[in-house]
Amino acid sequence: MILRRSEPGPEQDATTDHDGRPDHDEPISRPDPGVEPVSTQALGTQTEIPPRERGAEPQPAVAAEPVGVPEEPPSPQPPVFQAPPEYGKPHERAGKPRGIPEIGRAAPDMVVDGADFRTLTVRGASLRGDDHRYSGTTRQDSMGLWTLRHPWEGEVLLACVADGVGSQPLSHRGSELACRLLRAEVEPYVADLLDVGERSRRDEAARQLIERVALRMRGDIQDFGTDPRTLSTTLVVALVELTSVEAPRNCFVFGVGDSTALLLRDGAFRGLWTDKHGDGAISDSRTDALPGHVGSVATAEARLGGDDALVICTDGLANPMRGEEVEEHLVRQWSSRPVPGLLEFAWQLSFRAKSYGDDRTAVCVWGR
Amino acid sequence: MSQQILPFYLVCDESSSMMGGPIDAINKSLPVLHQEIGSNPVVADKTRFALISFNHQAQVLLPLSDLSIVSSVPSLTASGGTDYEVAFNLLYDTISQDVAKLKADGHQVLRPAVFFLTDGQPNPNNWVAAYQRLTDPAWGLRPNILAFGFGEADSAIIQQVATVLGFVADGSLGPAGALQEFAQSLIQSIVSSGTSADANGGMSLSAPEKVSGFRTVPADVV
Repeated sequence: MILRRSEPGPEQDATTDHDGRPDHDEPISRPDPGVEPVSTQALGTQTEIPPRERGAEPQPAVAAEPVGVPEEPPSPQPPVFQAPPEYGKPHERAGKPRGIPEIGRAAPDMVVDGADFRTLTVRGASLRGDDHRYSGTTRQDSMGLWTLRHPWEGEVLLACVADGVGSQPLSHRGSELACRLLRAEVEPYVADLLDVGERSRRDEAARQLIERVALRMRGDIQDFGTDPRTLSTTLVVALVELTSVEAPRNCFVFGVGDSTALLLRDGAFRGLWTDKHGDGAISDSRTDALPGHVGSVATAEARLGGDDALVICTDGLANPMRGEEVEEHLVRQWSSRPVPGLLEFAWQLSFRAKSYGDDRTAVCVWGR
Repeated sequence: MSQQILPFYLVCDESSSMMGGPIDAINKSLPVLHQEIGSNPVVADKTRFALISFNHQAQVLLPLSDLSIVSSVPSLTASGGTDYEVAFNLLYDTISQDVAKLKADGHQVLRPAVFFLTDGQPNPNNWVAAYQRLTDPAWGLRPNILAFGFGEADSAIIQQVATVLGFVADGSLGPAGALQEFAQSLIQSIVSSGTSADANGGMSLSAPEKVSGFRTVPADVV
């Protein structure tokens, strides 16, 4: 791809444009592998989204005609989109969405959500993986964001992500159902889940809530007339108090299966519980899943400071994050101010990394 | 850049009894495999393919490779005897080196898959000990093995070599026809292993349940 400035003027940073967007001479969703990069990064290296200048007036993308008038004025260059970063040179046809899924209640390709609260910011996105795009099959991940009334004062943010087990035919329904039933069942448990004095009470409330969701799922599955395993899904839940103006805020996170919870603090991600894939020579792909194999319920307490970010995500993000390039890039993007906008967050999550074609879902909560 | 990788090894008997139709059938199928795997982004980005041939010796004809970037796959030449011991020992060493290299490069490696193809009974030697080392449950890198026998292959030996499933030609197809079916099942297995996500959205060996022209035999419990 070739960067071209849309108007003459002072030298600008190679990746920063006046309106916060890079200019290109062609709409790029995929670089042409036959074309040598001219003035920007080659495939396989990361590209940085330019920092935005909040409040800056957008500039016209078309250059004003300079005085002195060339005989042929430059043709208008429409504003164009910078493709998300790529890592490891993915196959040139990776991620082409080759069809609309032909199944009942197929999930849309992506969901983007979020809110700017007075004391917190939350962003969430659930993206169909490149494998599902190429095969024309549905996204199996789901996510949810809600606010609940706090048992004592104010409100609580409830966030969840769910990863429908890839090999199961109705797991897209399973992940969506788990999120929906979590919301339906959570309120009687909120007081115990947020009780900072009693860890055992929190853990027990988490287990009871998860089992309640699994029970409801099994009940609903009878309506499907199918084996409960066909709806298998992981589920990770975060509850964050919205009441406290002074950081840090009280958070409680719990989940079943190999989806993950992380805390971004001081420029590094830290897992809130042990990675179940282990560090063996061969990657272990087994996972606990709702509704049939709840297994152990992982739980973690966290205090979310003003410079921290709490992340819950499916392994479509956690797996490529084992690569240092991806991790370092996300650290930079999610540590900097301001917090990314809704579409910017989805763009950041849309990076393409060779061999990682799974659905990718993350919710980030910033303490600012 | 860290990747998650499922390594496939095709271990192919090229003893003198493979001469003619059988070896031609395999050699015709390898470019098809190259084309089908290399052009499929879902599969090509996640699988690596290696070709090992053996008679009384064993050699790596194609080191573990990304088929979307290799220009061609070598062909086999029939001659010599049938020594499983050298094949299993080379496979053990090759898998050890390949996984160590992939891990050193920061990749996540899934359990290797082996397609073992033979048309004859092995030379009597220590092949069972070499096989046991390769499939020892205590060896973390032990591969999943699908074994295919045709021609004079002994079904009891195929059953013994397989850890997942074995397939023995049932005589309904000639050797060349049976090997074309074998090649098709190999391609299908690689494609479906790369595309059908397992429990965590990763990959694992997707074995064919039936192969036309072959009778399915269960693997001995290792």
